[in-house]
Amino acid sequence: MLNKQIPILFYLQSTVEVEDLGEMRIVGSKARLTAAEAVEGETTVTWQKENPEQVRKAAETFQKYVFEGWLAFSVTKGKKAQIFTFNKDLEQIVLAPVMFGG
Amino acid sequence: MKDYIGGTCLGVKILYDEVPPQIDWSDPMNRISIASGPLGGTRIPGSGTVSVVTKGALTNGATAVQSNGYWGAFLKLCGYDGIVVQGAAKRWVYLHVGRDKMELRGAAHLLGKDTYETADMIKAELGEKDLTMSVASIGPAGENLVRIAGIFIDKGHAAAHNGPGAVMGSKRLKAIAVARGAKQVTVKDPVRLGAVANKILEKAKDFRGTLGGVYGGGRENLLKRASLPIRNYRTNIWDISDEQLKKYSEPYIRETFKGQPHSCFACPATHCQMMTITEGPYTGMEIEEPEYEQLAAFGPLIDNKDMASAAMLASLCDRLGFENNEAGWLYAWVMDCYDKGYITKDMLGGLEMNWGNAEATRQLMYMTAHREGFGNILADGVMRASQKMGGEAAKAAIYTRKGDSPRGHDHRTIWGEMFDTAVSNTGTIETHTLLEGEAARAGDPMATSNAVAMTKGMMEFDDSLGVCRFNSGLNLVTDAEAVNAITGWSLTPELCKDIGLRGVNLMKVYNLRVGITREMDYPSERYGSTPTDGPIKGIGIQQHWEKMLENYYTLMGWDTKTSKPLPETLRRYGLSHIIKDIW
Repeated sequence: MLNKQIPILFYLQSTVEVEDLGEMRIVGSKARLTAAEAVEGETTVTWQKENPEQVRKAAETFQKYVFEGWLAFSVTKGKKAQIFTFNKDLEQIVLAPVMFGG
Repeated sequence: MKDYIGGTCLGVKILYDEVPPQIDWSDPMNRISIASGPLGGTRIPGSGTVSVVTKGALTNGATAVQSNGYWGAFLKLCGYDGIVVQGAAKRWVYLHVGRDKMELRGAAHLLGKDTYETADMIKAELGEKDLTMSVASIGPAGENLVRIAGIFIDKGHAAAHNGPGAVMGSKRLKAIAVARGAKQVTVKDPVRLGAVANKILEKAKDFRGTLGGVYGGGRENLLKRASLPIRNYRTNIWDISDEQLKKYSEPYIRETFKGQPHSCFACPATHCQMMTITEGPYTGMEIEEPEYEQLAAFGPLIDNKDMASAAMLASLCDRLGFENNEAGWLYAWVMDCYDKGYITKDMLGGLEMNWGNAEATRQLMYMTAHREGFGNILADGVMRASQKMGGEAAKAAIYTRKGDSPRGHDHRTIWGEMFDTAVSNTGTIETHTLLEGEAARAGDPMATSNAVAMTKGMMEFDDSLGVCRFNSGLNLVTDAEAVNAITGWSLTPELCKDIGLRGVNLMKVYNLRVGITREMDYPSERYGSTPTDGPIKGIGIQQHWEKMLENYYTLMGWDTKTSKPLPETLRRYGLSHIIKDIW
């Protein structure tokens, strides 16, 4: 269970113009109806594709959020697609919570 | 079954295969599929949910709506996954699904009874109680083929968008009562299922429901978001005192109306309570806890500042058998037209439909449910009623060009929901997903259409499982894990989404064959209008709509000129056999 603080913004991505760097951005929301999946803390995780420790940490973070029900989107050359599996070769990954109400 | 799973996707398959697109929704050849799914009746929290699929009364196209409660779980415990109703009875009947038999029983004595009364009467005559029987019924609205009529389960759980209650009425089927069976759902790996059930339970128990939605975080939040529907979209600012507004809050309602738990099957959440109104002229009325959309419809939308009367109207909606959002837009439109003089007191049989007049609205609801006087015009829904009035009145109505109306927000400040509602196949939203920063609430057209396209398919899969979304959380990872534990299959989240997209494409092709074309993927003039005050003043969506549609169709693999799914898209989802139906 992730902690229950109201989040601000969240991401996992690669903004630095270095081909072997990936970045994950985690986007939160104050408008959520449940606080169970809410998170706080670092909002960006970056990894060097050739650094196994950084890749492992990024993959774990990705897995944690997706398992909690967050949506993950890859961003490649400006195009986005929903993903469910971490791929260290992606330029950028955005994680965002699902929002719904009655 | 692996291709369609159950619930929504299976219902859509049945609709496509068995209901000719050219028939009217009220034709006996129409089907109503009410089905659970693989998770139904298991220890997964909230697994009493069903999905209702039919050819809907508002759009005459596909409809897929869900209701929670006990019904789906009880049906599974009787040994059935779903019921498909076809044909039409010569006289009014209800279906009794017993523990060891099924029978059609006469329902003449139930005619005119509301959905609460119907459930109580059926249980009494069969010697059952709340926890031994679940009843899905229609109210007077469904009996009288009111196009905004829904199907109501266990007092207040509604499968209602796009008129499934009217379809049930056209078959002269007043109710389906299901006893709590004694069978067990077969589970391939109980230990694995237990683990995922605990995981879902841990999260779901924090869900408190949507009761506080109108009040939200208080005035600051309400004004900041400007997403409450106010006076039929005439304004984005609600002129209400702090004291009146606070009465719309969860703590006030639960404390004042003294809620008692009315949970669904295996659900740990604390929403869904039975209550009694304790203040104002409707004191003593038993109601089910009004949720956000109900309070929005009968509070700000009709500018009713009295929470207790909004709760009364919300409950009356459930009892008479109306879909509450559609009803809200209908009566808000009447008030708007009354205010402008397009609809007069004489036309309304002496009712004064001033803004906020809850008592007049209550009386007009009865007239609508029984198709009396002006209520007969309203009974066909806000699009048809407004078109019948014509002139300026027609421009004031909020609906999609397919004929259904949106959920209870001001979607001019939530572009994702407006776009999703307008392009949807089902008569209501299909993604339920707003990604802050990704699909801007207003002002970023491409992010909006991207987000709607990217998240398509998730809801259709989730709604095929027989589980409540407030429990599943639309989490395809745990969904797949639960299905695999029960069935022994090896679904992945990616496959789950593909199954959902198969359902989306099948519905899209069905609707195209019905005649629901690209030109209908638009909001009505008022629905797509630009706010004239509040924080989104002057920021309109209409000018972007065409580009949003093109982007959306491209991402969906649909032809941008006609909105037809391309042959390669249909092949991708295993639908090669229907390519010939549209190409």
